[in-house]
Amino acid sequence: MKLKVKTLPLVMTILSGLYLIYVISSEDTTLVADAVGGDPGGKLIPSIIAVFLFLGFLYITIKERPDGKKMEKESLVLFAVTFVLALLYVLLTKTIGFVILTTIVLYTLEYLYSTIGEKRKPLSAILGGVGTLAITAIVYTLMRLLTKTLGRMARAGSLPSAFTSSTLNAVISVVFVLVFIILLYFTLHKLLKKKDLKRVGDAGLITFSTVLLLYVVFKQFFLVALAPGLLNF
Amino acid sequence: MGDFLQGLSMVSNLYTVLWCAFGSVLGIILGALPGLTATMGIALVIPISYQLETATGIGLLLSVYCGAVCGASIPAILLGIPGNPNAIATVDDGQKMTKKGLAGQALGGAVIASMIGGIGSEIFLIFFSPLIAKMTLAFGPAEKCTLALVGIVIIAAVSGKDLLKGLLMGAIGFVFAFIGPDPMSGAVRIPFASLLRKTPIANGFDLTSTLIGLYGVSQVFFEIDNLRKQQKAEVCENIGKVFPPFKKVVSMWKIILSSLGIGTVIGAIPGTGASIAVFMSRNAAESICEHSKGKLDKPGTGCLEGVFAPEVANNACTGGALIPALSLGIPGDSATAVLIGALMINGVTPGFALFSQNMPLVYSLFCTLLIANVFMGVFQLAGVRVYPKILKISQRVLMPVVLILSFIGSYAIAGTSISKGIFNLGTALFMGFFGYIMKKNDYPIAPVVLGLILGGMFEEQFRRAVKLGAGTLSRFYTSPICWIFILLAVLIIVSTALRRRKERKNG
Repeated sequence: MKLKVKTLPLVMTILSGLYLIYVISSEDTTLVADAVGGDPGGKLIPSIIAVFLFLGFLYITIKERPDGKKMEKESLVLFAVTFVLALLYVLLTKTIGFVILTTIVLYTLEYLYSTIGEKRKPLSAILGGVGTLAITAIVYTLMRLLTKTLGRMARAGSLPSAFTSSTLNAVISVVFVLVFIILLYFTLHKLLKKKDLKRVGDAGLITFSTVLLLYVVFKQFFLVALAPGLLNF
Repeated sequence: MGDFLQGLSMVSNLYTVLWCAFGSVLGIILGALPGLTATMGIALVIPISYQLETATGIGLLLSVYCGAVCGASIPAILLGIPGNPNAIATVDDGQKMTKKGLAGQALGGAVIASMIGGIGSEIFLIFFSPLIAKMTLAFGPAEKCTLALVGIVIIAAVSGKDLLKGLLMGAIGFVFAFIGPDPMSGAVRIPFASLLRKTPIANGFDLTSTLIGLYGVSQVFFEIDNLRKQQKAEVCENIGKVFPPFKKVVSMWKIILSSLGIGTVIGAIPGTGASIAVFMSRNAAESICEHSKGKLDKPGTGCLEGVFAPEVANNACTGGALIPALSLGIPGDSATAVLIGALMINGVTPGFALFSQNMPLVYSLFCTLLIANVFMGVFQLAGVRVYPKILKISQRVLMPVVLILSFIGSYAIAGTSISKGIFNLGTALFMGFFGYIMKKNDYPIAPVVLGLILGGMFEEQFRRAVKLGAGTLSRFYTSPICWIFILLAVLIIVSTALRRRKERKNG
């Protein structure tokens, strides 16, 4: 007779067992300079928790049987693509940089999600992606050039010193980006009439707006060091 | 009085007011969109709140929390789908009113009720939380350790359908908390310590990235399966008159008071939550209407009474739930569990120390809660004709943006350190994947959060108590408070197990 067990509790039982072995075999972390004594040490509670986890998951492994539910194929593919893109995002952010990588990941997901159940046209999707990336990079470069130039002029005394403030630069950047979002919205609305092209346009516009607004909020308002990567000033 | 004025001055500036306004609008939108939750909203704004002044950051978090609870009534009334479980009881009468062409009055009534509930319960919060916090003066290490245990048991009992799974998830949260420095000796406790000693993991998991991963990233993965099934819902756009008649509202004073009381008390009892309070208040409203000699309409017939009762109660729960959360650090549900984590990230540790050492901050918190409740009402009323349009935004468009927001949020908490930011991204992805797998298999994730928050405290206080007892457990069995807490934990476990058994028997 073939015994069917649920994968998750079984995996968790094994992991709990490994954790227990790790806790028992790890170095003692009891307080060294303990003149009075009585410290039960840093292994006790983790060991109790490990035993509880092991027994609990073992019980569930024995008790529960698989329900046979499976993810639909398209959902599974979407999940795999999302996970791989998310993993690449984590691994490549430092090298490629926030603006380029976020644009690629967000555009891909926006396009794939919005066309679920529809026939996709890879060529227009790729061209749309390249276009989105190019427009985002150009507007980003222009925005940085503008704020940097204003800052330089203010430092040279040609403009009021307020232009050296990061908050004012951020406000200028927000206005700059909003103008481009509005321009792009109306241009795409006018140019793209076919449904499949509209999907590409929408994905591109959402990506462009999200990436640049997030950049302004986190980098310019909150001074977070977003990885510059390839677009390094 | 000096403390109060100091607290007031911390929040009486345009900066705080604007962030609270932003939080309220964001919360309403998050609450209104099915699939996005108050908990996720709080987790996503933690990185922003962290960048702000403490009082302003807390104001932002509370505004999102209150806004999301209130916003859930919008889809409940217009679509018949509650934005979150708090609005379940609003669906029946809200939908019937919409079908009668009274959608505006239902939405307006829900907002007024939410404001009454939120502000009313805040009065209880202001009065009771310092008193309960004062009680914790008598707590030593043993009492604090058992209190942490009660917290874990409560959250395990309220989240999910299986108590054992809840407890196991709490234990996993403990394991995550144990990774990093030993709380007593400071020695690093990580697997492969010789290799990883100089990496950020040596300091343990970052709480913000963990919260964002568990509630933001995992939700995106979780919704992928639903995106295929998604269909465009028909949203009623003919809102009509928004404000319900003033006389009608006044005539419901008994319903308002009973719902306020029920909501605050149920919210304040850890382990109960708004989804119980809304049905209790609705039942109480039914009984009040029956004895009103025809002056009030009976809930269930598509009337304002059926919207008012649950909406007063669910927002009263927010103030009620903050009583144990602020005074003891014990959450009533997943949203308050994340809120406690968010407060700790912002440098506010709930408990007596907060009330005794930083009273101005406590007053500033009360002030921002009031602002949050007022803004919640103002912005929901102002946007009552706009929100039906928001309901049309597809999750297919939103989910990729949520994923990127989650990533940038966890990255941003590292500030100027890019390598720590990358580590946080990894943490968010790992926790997101872990949360997704667990949710998919019906394991609740709220206990993991609380385990992570309380794990360190539990171990440290346990070791202190044993050390004070000269290597024995005497500190535990000689303390009546410990006995009360242990009995409470046992009682919760037994009653939950019996209730679940009964539910299974009844199918």
